[in-house]
Amino acid sequence: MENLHIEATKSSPQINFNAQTNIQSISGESYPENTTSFYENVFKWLEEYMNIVKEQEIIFNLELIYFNSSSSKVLMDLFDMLEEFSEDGKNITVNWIYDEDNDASLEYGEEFAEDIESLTFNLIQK
Amino acid sequence: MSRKLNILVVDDSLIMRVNLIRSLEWLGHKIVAEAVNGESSITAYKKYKPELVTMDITMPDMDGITAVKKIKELNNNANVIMITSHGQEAMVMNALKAGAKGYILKPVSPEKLKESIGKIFPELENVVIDELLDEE
Amino acid sequence: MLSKEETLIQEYENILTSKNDASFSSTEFSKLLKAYKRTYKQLNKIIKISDKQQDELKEVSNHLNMKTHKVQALLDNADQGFLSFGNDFIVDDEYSLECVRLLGDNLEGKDISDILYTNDENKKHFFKEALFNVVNEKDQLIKDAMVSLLPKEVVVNRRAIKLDYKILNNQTFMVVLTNITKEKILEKKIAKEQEILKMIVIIVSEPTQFYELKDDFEKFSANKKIFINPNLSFKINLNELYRDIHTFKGSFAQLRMQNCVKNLHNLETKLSTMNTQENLTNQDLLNILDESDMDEWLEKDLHIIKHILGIEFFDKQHKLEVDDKFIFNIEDKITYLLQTDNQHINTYEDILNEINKARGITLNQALGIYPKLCQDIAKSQNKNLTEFKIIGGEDILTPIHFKSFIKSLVHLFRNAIDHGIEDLETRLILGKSEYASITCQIKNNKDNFQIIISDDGAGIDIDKLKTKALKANLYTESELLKMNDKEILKLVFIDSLSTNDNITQLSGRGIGMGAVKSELEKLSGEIEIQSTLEKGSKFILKVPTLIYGNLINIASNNRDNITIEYILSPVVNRATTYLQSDMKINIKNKALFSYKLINEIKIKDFCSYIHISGLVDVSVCISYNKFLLDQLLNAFNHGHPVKKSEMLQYRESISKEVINIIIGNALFNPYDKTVLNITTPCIIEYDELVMHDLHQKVAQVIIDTEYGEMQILVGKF
Repeated sequence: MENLHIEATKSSPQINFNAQTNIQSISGESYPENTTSFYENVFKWLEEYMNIVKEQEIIFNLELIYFNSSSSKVLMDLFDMLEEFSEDGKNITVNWIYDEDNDASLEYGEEFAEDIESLTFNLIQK
Repeated sequence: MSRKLNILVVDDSLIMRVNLIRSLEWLGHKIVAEAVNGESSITAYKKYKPELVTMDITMPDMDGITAVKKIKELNNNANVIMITSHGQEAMVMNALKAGAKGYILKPVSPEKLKESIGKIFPELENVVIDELLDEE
Repeated sequence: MLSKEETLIQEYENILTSKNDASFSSTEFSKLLKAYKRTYKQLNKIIKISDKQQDELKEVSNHLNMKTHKVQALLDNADQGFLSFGNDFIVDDEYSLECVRLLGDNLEGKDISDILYTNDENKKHFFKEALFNVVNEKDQLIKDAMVSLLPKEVVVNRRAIKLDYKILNNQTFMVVLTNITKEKILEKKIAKEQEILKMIVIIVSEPTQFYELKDDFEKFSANKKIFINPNLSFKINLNELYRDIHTFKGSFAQLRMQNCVKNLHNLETKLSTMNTQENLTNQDLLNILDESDMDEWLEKDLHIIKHILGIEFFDKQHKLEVDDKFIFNIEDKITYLLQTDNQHINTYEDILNEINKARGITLNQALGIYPKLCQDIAKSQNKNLTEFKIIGGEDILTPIHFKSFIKSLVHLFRNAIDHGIEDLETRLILGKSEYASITCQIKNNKDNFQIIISDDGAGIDIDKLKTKALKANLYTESELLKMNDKEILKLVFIDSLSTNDNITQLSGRGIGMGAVKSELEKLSGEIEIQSTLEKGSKFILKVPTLIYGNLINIASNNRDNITIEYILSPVVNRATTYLQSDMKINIKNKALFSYKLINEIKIKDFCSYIHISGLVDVSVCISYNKFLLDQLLNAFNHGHPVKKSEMLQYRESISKEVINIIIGNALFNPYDKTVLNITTPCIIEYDELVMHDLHQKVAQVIIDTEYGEMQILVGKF
């Protein structure tokens, strides 16, 4: 399966999804003009990917310095999806990566972690 | 004073000559000859060729100023100090014009002699730094 | 407390559990409820996160504000103005306070060239163009070069502003404005003063040129109307006038007299415009001249010159600089005539006197340097001294041989300030005035003059002097007891004797005062000191006047003044000092004087005799008792014994020398010796000599000494 690579822009993050290494990363700032259309491809790829992958460990590295409200909805949708897959038996780990100096980023990670039940969600200091 | 000068003393007065000789010897110099009038002073100068001459201005027959002129004719670099009882300015001017290198007003003292000689032979002067007089 | 949505969820969950059937609607319903729950959860979460983000934003915003304020405060308190503008030349919002002060308020949104060159369209245009060039230039090097060509100084609101330009990374111009108004004013002031200085230098080096120009212009100004000849046409008069004005302008320009140059230039301009106008008449020229206040133009420049050079500079206009060689030559010639042409002796004498006046400076002038010197010395010691002038002495000419004496007076003045005048604190404690006073007065008496220098200082401590004299082994205690105060005071003159314990740089060495005394004695003078502790001291220097030499009455010159008395006086004075100071022979009482017609007079044992001819015709005879003469010989010879066989010779010699010295020292004269012919003395030794058949007025003075009498006769015999 082909990898997904989207370059970062001023308002959108870098997407680096790798079907071979099974390491998926989203990093940068997320406040695109049209969140839905931006993340459409992302979700599409993930759906396809989840169908192919078996027991391999899948790691999600999220390092978002800034994200707007629309993006936070997208993230939560993502976590919901991952949780479902996890419950289905997929081996998924989510790493929320934050900067030591950035207290807010840690807090946001904690917020997300709060609602997650079965997905492995780690808060990792950079 | 480190050096001994050979001096010719010219004065028609005995007591002046005696006095001058005494003072000059006290200052460490040597009197090679004395003369009693202008004429004989020239002869003495020719004979002894002194480094310094003290010359009285008022003398009978040839006066001091004429004598100086004649001595200067013999030797342009002759050093003559005039001794005078009057310090008329024009008088001094005449003496200097005639070729004298300085003058002393009577009464003569060793200090006055030393000062005048020192001006002509500065190497003999003991240099003393005196702040008071520096301001002159 | 549950929210609306939570209550709704709860309700529907209850309905679901209560129904408990697997019908389609409940399954669908269940799904719907689940989705709703999820959505609700998400919403809450998003809101929560959003709230947090906004908090963060607020914090950052505050922080930013604070930083901005701090930076703004820094910039506003800088003495320079900072502003920026982009390629559109519109000033950005952010600029510092100084910009407001310099350029005005509400600068943002305005064009920079409008702000800097409000009134000058030309300059505005050039500035805009220059900026435009910079902006469009791609090459950085050329761009920088262009920036360096932008105007560096501008005047806005009557202030001079320096401009520094910087181009920031993002193509924004930053301008730093510095207020240089003060510096500019100072520059102008300095330039003006330099111009004045140049003017002064030129005028002082070419005074004749200056005087001539001044005179010419004053004449021109007084007669300006006459220059317009009614018989000539307007054009001709105009041309002539223009030429004259132009020439004057050039002359004044050479001397750098700016005010005249400026005004003449304006007049010139006016005249040249008149040249192009029609229908003008001579009257118009007269009118223009009327309006031109030339005297005032000149006065302005002269005022500056007077202020710097003093009004005396204008007096010098009528003075000549002459080599004294010329004066000597004239004097020699007149002197020759004086000897050969007896008829006109009076006239020649008057002429010689006039010449001497021209050459000499008065005693008042000679001492004139001291008041200022005293101020300088006082200042250096932090003492306050009232300004003073030399009083008197305007009618006494200073002969050349007074130079060293006058120079030596510096020690008197220095000592007066150094030892005499107390420091401010002491004076105030003693109730004295803050400003000390020193006075110097010259008194002109008939046969002597006095220089009196007094101070209101601490006075001389007699006891201290005594102690010092004892210590220095100058006198024994018993000797000191015998001395009166006056004599003790004179001790200050002894070299290396001083009552000041510290040797200061100025005095305290005691050498200075000794110099004064010795110089005074060379002039046959004497000194008297009066002093009171804590009140002050007075130094009275007496110098006998000598004929034809140091005393010339500028006011009148009467031949009749020259009488025998006038010869007698200096001779007696010198004889006295010779005996006392030079020979250390005590005088028992001062001179018995008589001046009368006598027929015969007794002369003492040994006599020497001199005739003075020339300006006066008189003889002087000095005779001594044998004992006195021998004592004089002893003193002169410094105690060396004399062989009996040579005794006569020595005696003759000494009496000649003594009269020589006394007369020679006493009768200085500024002219050639030939004017006052002093014969070499001749000696008469006779045990009892009497002069007979005199029929003359003879002045006689007898000085009684401890060794005998000295008799001085002056008369025609």
